[in-house]
Amino acid sequence: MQRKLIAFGAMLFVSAGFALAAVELDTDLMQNIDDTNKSLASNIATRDGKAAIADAKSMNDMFGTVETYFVQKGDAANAVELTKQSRELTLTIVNAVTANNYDAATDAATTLSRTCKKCHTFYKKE
Amino acid sequence: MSINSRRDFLLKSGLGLGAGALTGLLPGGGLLSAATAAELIDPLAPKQPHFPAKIKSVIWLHQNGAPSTLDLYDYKPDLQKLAGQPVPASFLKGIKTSTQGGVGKLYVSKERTWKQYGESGAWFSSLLPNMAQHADKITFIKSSTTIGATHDISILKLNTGDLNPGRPSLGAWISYALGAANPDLPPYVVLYNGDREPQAGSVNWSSGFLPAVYQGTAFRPGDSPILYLDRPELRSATQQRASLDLLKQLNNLGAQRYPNDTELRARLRSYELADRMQVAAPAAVDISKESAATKELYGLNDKTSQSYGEVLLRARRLVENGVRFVQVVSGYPEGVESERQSWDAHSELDQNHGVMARMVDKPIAGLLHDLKERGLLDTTLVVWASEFGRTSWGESGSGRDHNPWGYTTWMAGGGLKAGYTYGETDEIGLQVADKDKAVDTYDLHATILQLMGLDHLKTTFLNNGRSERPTVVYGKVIKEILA
Repeated sequence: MQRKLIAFGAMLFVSAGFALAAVELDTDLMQNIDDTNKSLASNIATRDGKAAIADAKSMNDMFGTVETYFVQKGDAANAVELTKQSRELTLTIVNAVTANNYDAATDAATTLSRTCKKCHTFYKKE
Repeated sequence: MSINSRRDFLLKSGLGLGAGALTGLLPGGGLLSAATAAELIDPLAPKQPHFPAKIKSVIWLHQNGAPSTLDLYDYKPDLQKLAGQPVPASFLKGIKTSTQGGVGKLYVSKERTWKQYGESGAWFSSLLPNMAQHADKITFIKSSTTIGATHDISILKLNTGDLNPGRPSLGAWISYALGAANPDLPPYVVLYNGDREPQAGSVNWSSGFLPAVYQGTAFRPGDSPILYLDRPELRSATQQRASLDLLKQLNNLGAQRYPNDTELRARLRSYELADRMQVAAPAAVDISKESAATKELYGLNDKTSQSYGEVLLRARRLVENGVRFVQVVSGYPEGVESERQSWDAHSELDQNHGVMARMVDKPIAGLLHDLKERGLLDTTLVVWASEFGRTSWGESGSGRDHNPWGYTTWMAGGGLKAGYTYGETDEIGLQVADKDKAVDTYDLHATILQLMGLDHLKTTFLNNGRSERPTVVYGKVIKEILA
């Protein structure tokens, strides 16, 4: 029984380590956010609601990863806050597009881009 | 289906697709309408703005090399007190100081004196005595910020909004969205003084992914600003017209076969424009008939300011003649020896800025005065812009390094609160004090477009299936400075 517990504990440790390692901010993720953001702006401008909503939802997921990273990193309260704002903005975009209010969606998407830029001022590595 | 009819079918389908693609040429990418038929024939036909415009033209004064606005407009008493000391760590928080000179000690020039001018009480240094007289015409943005710390990249961002080549410049977007106000002149002209073309080159007045017809037309400095404009003496006007007509016919055949070839359309347009420009352009840029008083007003009587003054006088004449966007890149006075032929004072700032300020001070003051006197300042926007500013700390003991974190831009003209200052830098003039008031190049572009009657969010172009706009994915109109 004790061996089984040790093995289970070791598995948990490895899994936790794997989970921690998974929340890394690599350039691919940030590039993906950047690309999706540009696609989102375009899809809103061309009023492609389905694609815009897909982009916004995808960005919401990616910002989730970014938020987890900064929470784990610590000493990055404003990054966590800015990421939360970004996630909320993606939801605002989804709601605005669903309501066929593309002007509101454009405004929210522009604010979202500025929020990204604000965060990069402090945290982007050259 | 025969080969001919198959070919015919493909051609017609292609033309149909081409017409569809051309809807992307229209601001907002809207559906084809009666008004757009003319636009498809003439891409520079005048187009309606999104809402009534406050201004008709922009004179974009790019101060090449990045002047130290800390030594011109941004008076910082604390910097004077702290000069010679290391930069307190609190001021460096949040910025990456990867500029080539490292972080030196805070620096001020002993030669500089400061004074407030006008009812607005705007500060000017002793380097700009003439411009200071127009303090109440100016709207300062003292919270400008950008990305990058090398000239070419930040100049590109200043003009096109992006760090990589390929996007249209602001002037190109305006030409695309509004067309030409005067069919005999290009809507977008680039001027520069000095003996060489501006560094970083024509990518800064490129039309990028917009059709080539919207790019800026560069006029050289000197007595013959437009190369090969005059018809050769041995050729009559009738002969020239006949060969142009033949060329047009041949090019039109090519254009029918390749309806999406924007280079060809631009070439067709440019031949015709060149023909009409032979009459209109010499008059528009000829400053010889300007009065002696006007020439003196623009500083043409001073060797240091003469070449820049001539360029600004031409800019005024072009604006009078309906040119929508005049991009003026500062060069260097003729006959003044220096290694640095721009505002880029990494060392010997006093000497460099002494020359550069003297080169631009009287001409810009003259331009503002002249535009006002002629009733043109209400419909023209004069913009002082640079790729970035310069650091509060010194470099090489007598210069300043590049500063993208906080510097001054200003505008003067229609639709703005004159004698007004928006934003500020911190106590030593290094960073924007309130980040929520930071004005990036995108915001500047969005505001200028707004004054031209264009919503930057709705000024769009379909490029390879993606809707693009002048402000990329950013941009916020600075409503606080609008009258």
